[in-house]
Amino acid sequence: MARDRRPGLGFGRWALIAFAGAFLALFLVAPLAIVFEAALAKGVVAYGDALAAPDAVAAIELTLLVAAIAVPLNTVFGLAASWCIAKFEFTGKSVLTTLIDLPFAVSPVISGMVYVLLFGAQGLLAPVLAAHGLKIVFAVPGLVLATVFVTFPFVARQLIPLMQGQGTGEEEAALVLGASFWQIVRRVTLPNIRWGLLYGVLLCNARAMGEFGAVSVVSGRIRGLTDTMPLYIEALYNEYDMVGAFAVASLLALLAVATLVVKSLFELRYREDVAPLTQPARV
Amino acid sequence: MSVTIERLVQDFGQGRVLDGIDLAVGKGEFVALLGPSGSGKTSLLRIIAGLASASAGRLLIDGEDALQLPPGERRIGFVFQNYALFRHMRVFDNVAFGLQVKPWRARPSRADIAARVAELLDLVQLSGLERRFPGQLSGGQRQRVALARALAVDPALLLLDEPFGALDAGIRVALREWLRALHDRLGLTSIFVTHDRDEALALADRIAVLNAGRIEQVGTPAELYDRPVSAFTMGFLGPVNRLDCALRDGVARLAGETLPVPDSSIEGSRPPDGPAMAMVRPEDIRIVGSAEPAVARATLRSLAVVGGRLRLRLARGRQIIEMEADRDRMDTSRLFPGAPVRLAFRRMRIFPRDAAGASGLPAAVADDDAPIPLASRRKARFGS
Amino acid sequence: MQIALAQHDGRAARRSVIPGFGATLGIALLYLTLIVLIPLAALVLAAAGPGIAGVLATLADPRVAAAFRVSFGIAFAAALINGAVGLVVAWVLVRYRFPGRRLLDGLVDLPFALPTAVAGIALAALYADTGWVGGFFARFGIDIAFTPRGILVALVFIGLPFVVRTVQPILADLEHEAEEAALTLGATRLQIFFRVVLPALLPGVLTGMSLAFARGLGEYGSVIFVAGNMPGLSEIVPLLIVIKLDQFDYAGAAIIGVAMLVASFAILLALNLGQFLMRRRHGA
Repeated sequence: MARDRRPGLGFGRWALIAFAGAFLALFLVAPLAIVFEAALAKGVVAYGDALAAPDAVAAIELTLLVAAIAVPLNTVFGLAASWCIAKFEFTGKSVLTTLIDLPFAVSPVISGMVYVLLFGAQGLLAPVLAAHGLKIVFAVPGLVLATVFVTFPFVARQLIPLMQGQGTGEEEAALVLGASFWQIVRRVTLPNIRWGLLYGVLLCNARAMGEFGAVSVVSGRIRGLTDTMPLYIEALYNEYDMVGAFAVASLLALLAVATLVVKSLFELRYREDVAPLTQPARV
Repeated sequence: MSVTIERLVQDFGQGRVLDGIDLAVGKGEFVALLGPSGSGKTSLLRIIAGLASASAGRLLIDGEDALQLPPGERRIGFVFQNYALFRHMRVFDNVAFGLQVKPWRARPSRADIAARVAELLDLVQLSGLERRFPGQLSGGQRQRVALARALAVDPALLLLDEPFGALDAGIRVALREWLRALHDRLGLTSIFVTHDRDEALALADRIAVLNAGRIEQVGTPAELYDRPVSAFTMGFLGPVNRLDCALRDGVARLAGETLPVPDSSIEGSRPPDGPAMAMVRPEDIRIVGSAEPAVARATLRSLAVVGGRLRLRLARGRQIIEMEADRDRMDTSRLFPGAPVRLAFRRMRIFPRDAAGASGLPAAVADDDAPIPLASRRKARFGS
Repeated sequence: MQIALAQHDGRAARRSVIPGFGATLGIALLYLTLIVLIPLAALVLAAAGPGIAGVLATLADPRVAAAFRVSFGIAFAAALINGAVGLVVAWVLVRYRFPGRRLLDGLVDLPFALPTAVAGIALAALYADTGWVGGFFARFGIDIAFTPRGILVALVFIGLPFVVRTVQPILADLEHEAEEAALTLGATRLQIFFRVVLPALLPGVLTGMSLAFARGLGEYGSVIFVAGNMPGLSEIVPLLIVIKLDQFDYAGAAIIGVAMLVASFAILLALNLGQFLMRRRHGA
């Protein structure tokens, strides 16, 4: 096979493999392993108790709620944005794609801060909120907003290169054959992008549930009310409740591993439908 | 269905893609839009289909103004260059698509749709492949599915955009004959785009030659080949030799020759006095003996036997002239590489000099790969 | 002229024939305006509040300056490490076959998929003096957690996928004929690597490094648990922003935030420009 005959580096492929393996084991495997080791450090019963604690349950429910709002919103946005970016030419397209990449370039702390600046106690819109008795930051709406900000690119970033690669030919053919807009979307476009869409939604959800920095800024840190799972983990950790913290962390770690497994499966079967995680929105 | 195009213009940014197109296609005709890439032929086709918009001009389909009609209402079938089959649908659903998306009042029953699909697949000789996906088909099969899909909605006009471009040569020839037979059988009106002149010449009733957004000439294959009105058309429709010449008092002389070109050799109109470009096809060149006047002198470079024909390469100064003749009509006994020959021409056409240049086709090309004769090699080494 | 026309052919046709342009663009713009543009405007407004004098005063504050040094310096160092190691990992994953390669390949995305808080406490536990790794180094008197070294470790962790994932496709697509040609011309394998392969990979490595750098600058959750968070020594800029927000110094937090954005955009722009020039020279 041509590959095996390619000039390597000459000094022992196995040394390099060992080095890479050791590095990855140290930097990737070890942190993952320690999550589970610390969670189970006091036995399975303690692990179960930690997860069943009322505050833990509340944190899990809140996390799920926030994700259940943020992910569908971002999916709609992702579909709309990738449709107009992939199927049309217009001036300002690159501005649009740069804006979509924005949360990736911005620290999560800043992502949360902007909402505090708008809706916080001394924020720009504070008087308006006070007049209507609305609380956004330090309450659930703030959590949703911050999560939406941080995770909105995910679906779009998966779909844009996918749809650009697929081109407009099939949609044009459907148009000439007499299909309406929704018929084209439903029958031609959606089936072509379903795996990229599913994967984007999964990524968006994983990130939404795991977001920490942005959420920590807008949250009131009120345990049981405005603590999502990552915030709850921080709280327990700061109180030296290691088992509790790592127990909840293990749930999120399992979600991460599941996401990676799904990604590998997708890449195996639907290679051309899946964009790499680190690829920018613009192509 | 007849199509009339009047003064159609398409601008894009600073450039003009189509610069005043006038074309009429009659019912039942098979018309080819022939031209090099960038000539605007695909743009024109897409405007007819409604997939692109025009900046000015009129498009009439069966006498009705069609520019404002959306593509789905023009009763047109479009076959794309890369087929654009719905990759996630089976062949059956691809072909049935146009029928399935009709508004429910007009939609045929499922049984009717199935019958029609079966009929079409039979027509394109793909019966039995209903359950396959496009990815499981060969190029030629995909092409036929695309055709069946376009025909399913009973279009009155069939538009094809370089339909055979992506196929192997053998399949291409077979498919195009089959397409023409289908067109005849179904009584369609078809317009198809191609850059392949053999394809256009073989298939079309009439050909519209496009160049840089304008129609150079429209006519039957014979008309275009025998009576081209521009250097571009002549050069595009077949191999041609280009010879520098000059006109004085209406008499043409080739560069470097003293004898004028006899009037009997020249067809078509002559441009005004001045430098010009003479174009003559390889089959219209004759080698003449010393008895006849020679319009040009050349040296035989090489001789090749290709089936029943002879192909000769003649050198005239730095230019190579291509000539073709029947084997049994030429006495090759005195022809050898280096032999001087005297030439006469038939059906030569003369065009203004800059017209040939502006067409984007290369002017007379200098011959770079001529081996240096021994004599001059010696000279080069020792200086002359 | 002909080539230009050919391009125009396709682009002219694609304008607004397919339905849905107005609606989808409208939705996208509305969403972006509400979620992104308005909040960003609020950020700039809040930062501009104290005026030029106030901005400069905030940025000149020793604690702020120290935080910038820490964040930029360590992020840069981590990017360098990731550049080198990432190249090796990408090489190993693309060029060699060995048991467990698929698993390792999938694992590379872990820092991207793992929630930052989970990574943070895991790294803290791992590199503390009582941890698996921290304990090993503690025997030599080297502390990792709660020092700037901890920050470095965390930033190397989260930046790892960027270089690897950027280099992998480039490496996989490299024409092996070029290397084979060099081989027939008598180059040693090391020479081939440095003269033929590495120049082709360098733009990708740099891209990955700049992505890792940008990510490392703003990273919060993975870092604050394992950093010492001591002002002037191991306090990162994002943490400083949070502290200021807690103190209701909105203006100060906004100023630092905008400064960080401006600085990182400037660096990224410079890197992109350098790459663009490099690509133009080599005709990518």
